[in-house]
Amino acid sequence: MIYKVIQYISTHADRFTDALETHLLLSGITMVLVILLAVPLGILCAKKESFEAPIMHVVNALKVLPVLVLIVVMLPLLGVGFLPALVALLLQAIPIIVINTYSGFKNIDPGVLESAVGMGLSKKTIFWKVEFPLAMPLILTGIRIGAIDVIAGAMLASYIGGGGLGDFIVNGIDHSDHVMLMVGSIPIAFIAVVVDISLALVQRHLSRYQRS
Amino acid sequence: MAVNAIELKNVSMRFGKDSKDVVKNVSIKIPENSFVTVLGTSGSGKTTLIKLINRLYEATSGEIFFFGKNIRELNVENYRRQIGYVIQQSGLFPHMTVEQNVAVIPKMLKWDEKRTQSRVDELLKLVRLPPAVFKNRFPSQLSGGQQQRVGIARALAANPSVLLMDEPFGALDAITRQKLQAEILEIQKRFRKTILFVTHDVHEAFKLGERTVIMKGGEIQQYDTPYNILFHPANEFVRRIVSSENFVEKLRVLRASSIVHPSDGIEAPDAPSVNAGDTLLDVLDQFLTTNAAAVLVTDKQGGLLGRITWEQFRLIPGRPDSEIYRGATLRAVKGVRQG
Repeated sequence: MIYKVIQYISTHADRFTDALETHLLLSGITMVLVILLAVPLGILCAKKESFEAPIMHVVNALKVLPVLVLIVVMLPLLGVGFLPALVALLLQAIPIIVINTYSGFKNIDPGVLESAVGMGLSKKTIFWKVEFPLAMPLILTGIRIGAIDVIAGAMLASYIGGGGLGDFIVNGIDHSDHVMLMVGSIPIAFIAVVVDISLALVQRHLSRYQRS
Repeated sequence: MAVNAIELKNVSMRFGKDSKDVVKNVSIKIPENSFVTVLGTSGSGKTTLIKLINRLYEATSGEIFFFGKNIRELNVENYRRQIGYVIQQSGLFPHMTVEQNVAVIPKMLKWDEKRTQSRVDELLKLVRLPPAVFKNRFPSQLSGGQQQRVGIARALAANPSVLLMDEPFGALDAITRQKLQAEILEIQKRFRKTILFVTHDVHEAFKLGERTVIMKGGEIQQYDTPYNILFHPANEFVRRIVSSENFVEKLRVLRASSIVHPSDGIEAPDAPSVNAGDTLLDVLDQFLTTNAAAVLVTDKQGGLLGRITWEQFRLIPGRPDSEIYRGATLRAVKGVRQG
């Protein structure tokens, strides 16, 4: 079986690398955008009370929608292709990162903030040197979960012509072709595991102070 | 005339518009180099009082002066850096090592690496945490007492003239608390800091404070020496607070320096002596075990500050108004000696 998978990949190298590239690009761009969007949103929720309820409601509602539903909903709105897939994945990953960023900032010990202000640190210094590093472990957890969801979810992009490794899987299912299925799914699983481990290592480093 | 490190003039504070005052029309002067404790139950406004001083809260009315300058006219962050702040939960930055925690303010003041380093080492030694052992630890790797020691070192980093301490030892076990109390007293004397120390523990308030502020319902009930509070309570509330202390307990919290008299120069060569910081109970102990007529009071270096005779000692409980008490602080007695 494995042999057949390798054989397929080597004979269809062009198609495979194209799909892999699309898949990585789709997940990568999604993650960059989602971090740029969700982290500030989470901070906004934690800092400004008037934003907290509305943003959190939307985010919580979004959280319960399966990614397949999001992808299908994109069809009438944005048509087919890379862009609607990207938007769908973006919406899928936003909630967990907003929520974790929010909790990361909200969970900081008030005594720590009180003494930071009391000792004369500026707001800017407190944000960058105290709050952000302390919220970081939780933010990273959000990013980790989000990244895995996106990498796996990107497979569904194939349904609306978004390309990626999902093409092989969809084809494999359609033709009951197990080799084809594996050509799509093994690399996805591999990427997911590698990303998860790398982020876990970063996280471990950033939260080393919590272990006594 | 003594300079006032901190002065509050008719300061009131309330949180909401319609709520009642948490601090009510408080006026108080904290002289430079003095150790003043603030004693009160929870809800008495004692913590609010010190948060008003470092502007974590803004007074609703009234004015606060820091060495004569209205604190509203000072740059708030610069001003806070001149005041060390120590709180009960230590407030250490958990993601920074001990060294980084202590170096926060020096770094912000852009001290060079060498100066910061030597300052950190010096301070850690001062609070009895060997730098080599503790520098690179994170707060989570320290005991509660050690965390408070780092908190004190951090507060002292930029050599502030004033320290505000909000129940800093409240969460520690009795033994650690006693050790830290002795150390903060020593630090205050050695570096001539002005300390305002909030506590709900009567013993702690009298043991540490040259003077104690007693608060209730946002108002100052009495601001006086421990001796006067114990023997001349200003009102029923203060009387109740200190009445649980029997005579021996009172001796236990009063320092020998509170009733020391100038020596007339003729002292028995074998007269027993105590330290100025020792309690009157220690003095009593000397009287009972040595049969001497007077106990000498010395400073830390062994220099003679004065003496307490048995006659003077006996006057303590019965006639608090008598000549025995002169409200003598160490400095006043020293002045008499030199004059």
